[in-house]
Amino acid sequence: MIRFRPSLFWALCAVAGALLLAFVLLPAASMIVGAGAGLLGEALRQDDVRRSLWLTVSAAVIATVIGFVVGVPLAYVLARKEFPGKRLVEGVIDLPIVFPHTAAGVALLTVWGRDGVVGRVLAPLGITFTETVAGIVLAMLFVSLPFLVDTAREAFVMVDPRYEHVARTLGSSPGGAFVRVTFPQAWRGVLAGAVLMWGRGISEFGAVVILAYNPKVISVLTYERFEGFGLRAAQPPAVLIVIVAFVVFVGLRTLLLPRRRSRKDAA
Amino acid sequence: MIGLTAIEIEAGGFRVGPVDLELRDGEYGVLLGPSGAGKSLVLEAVAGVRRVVAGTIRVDGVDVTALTPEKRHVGLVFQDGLLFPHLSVAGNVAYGLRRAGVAGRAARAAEVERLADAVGATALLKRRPATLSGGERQRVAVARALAARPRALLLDEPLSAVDAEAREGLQELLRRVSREQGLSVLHVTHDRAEASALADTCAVLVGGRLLQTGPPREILMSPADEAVARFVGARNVLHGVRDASDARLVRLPGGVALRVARTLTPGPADLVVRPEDVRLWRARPPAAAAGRDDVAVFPGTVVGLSLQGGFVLVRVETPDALDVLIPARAADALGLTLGAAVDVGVPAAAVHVLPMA
Repeated sequence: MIRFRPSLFWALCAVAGALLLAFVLLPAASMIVGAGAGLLGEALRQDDVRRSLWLTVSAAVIATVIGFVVGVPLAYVLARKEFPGKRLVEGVIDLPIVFPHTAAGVALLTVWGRDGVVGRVLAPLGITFTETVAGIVLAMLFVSLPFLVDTAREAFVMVDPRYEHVARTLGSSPGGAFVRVTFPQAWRGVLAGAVLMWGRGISEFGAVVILAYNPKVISVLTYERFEGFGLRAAQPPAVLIVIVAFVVFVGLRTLLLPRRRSRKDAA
Repeated sequence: MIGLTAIEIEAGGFRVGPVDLELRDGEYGVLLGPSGAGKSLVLEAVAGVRRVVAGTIRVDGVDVTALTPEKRHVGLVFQDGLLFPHLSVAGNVAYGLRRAGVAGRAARAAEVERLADAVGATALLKRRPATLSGGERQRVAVARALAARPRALLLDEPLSAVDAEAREGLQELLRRVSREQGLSVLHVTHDRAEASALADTCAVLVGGRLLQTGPPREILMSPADEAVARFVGARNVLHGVRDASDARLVRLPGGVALRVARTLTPGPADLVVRPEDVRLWRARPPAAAAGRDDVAVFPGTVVGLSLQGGFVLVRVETPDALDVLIPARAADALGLTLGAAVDVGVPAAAVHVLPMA
């Protein structure tokens, strides 16, 4: 058996971690540094980039809010209840993760498109999902919902169900125990799931481009500019979304999610 | 009052019951059993967080078997207190006050003060649960349970996570709460000493089966069967046969004959002798010291010694193995060592004859 001296072991871990960090950060940093402040200013002055950024961020927020409303109850049920077919339900929820996203777009089109099973019914009411903001939200919701449900479920699992038992004997209904006892303990995990979902939403391209090429979200705009005018033209929207995603991600995590307690702290 | 009539519970293929138990108002009941016996399942069933597959549960004379936990009027305290970590101590105590009909912020604050005072937690009200010791957490958990004005109190291993010093104070608190408020208490534990110290009535649950119910002293001295005897620490469970000519004499396989206090029918006899009831001498005692015929005296060899608190558990091979518990000072005075020759005496009054199955 190979035995590492502790210092060598931790040094190897640090090297591996540093390589991984560099792998993730280098492309983003290279793009931002290469673009420079001038390019960033130029991006902010371009109307289509600003519109696209707002559309991307707001559509992802709407998708996340819808995901929260429908996903959190499901996550709670999956965390607390055993029922026949539970593993199947969990598999179905995770299906969008393994779907090629363009295939997800095609699949969504067959349901929500003008001739789709649901789209056909809603179209006469003026509700359409092709080439609309609703379609973008739908595509984002579909591909990113598993991130919220899975993370929220784990957050609820971490809350000892006996807290709810105590709350029930103190007069709370099941809903009351959830609102007053379980959610306040799990909210950070749920929020982490929501941030992940939002992040996945703003980066979505494949499903969105099939369902709603227009109006253009930032990923579609970046692709269109790259295809039509080359790398220089694609950089402004790309730089902008990377910066926004970085600020929101790191900001939310730093402000809202507390530092995980070490074992030493816990003892 | 808590009344359990033939309740049965099923959990993951494990079946508990039927369990019958009646606790009057103010009566302190302890459900005693080893880990995995199903004790907590019974408690959860009474609290209403687990369904029973058969039987009825009554609280304060009302059949609550089909009621949800919030309608049962029972208080629940777990081993680690399980205070809500996002609330202060005061917030925890106040949690059930609305349900108890305490209206108005001022009235609730006054009630929190009163309850905290009753359990000795007044100084803790502004603290967060994470900063409390195990004993403090349990005091607050009791106050929180009492705030909802329960008609019965359910305690799941409430003293297990508490150090010895705090445990005594908590035991006194629990007894006082039960007595002063006339609350039936059902307390689950695996700790025999805890059960003896607290219980008016003790019920022994082993492997999902309720084996014996009664005052703790009766269970200690007269266990209903071998499983109970072993669980309550009798240690010496001996299988012998009644002597052919003497109805008060039982012969063990190793040749030792023990006297019993009553006459037995011919055939096999299972005996229980608590280790603290066995006497030990380094040299054969005079007949007067042995108590004449009422004490069976026989020689043996010390084959095991282990210190248990202020006592020493001595294993003696006679050749039937017997455990003897004597004060550590007495063991020192006798100069006991492994291999030492001793004489062992078992008084007839200390021999409990198990009912034959």
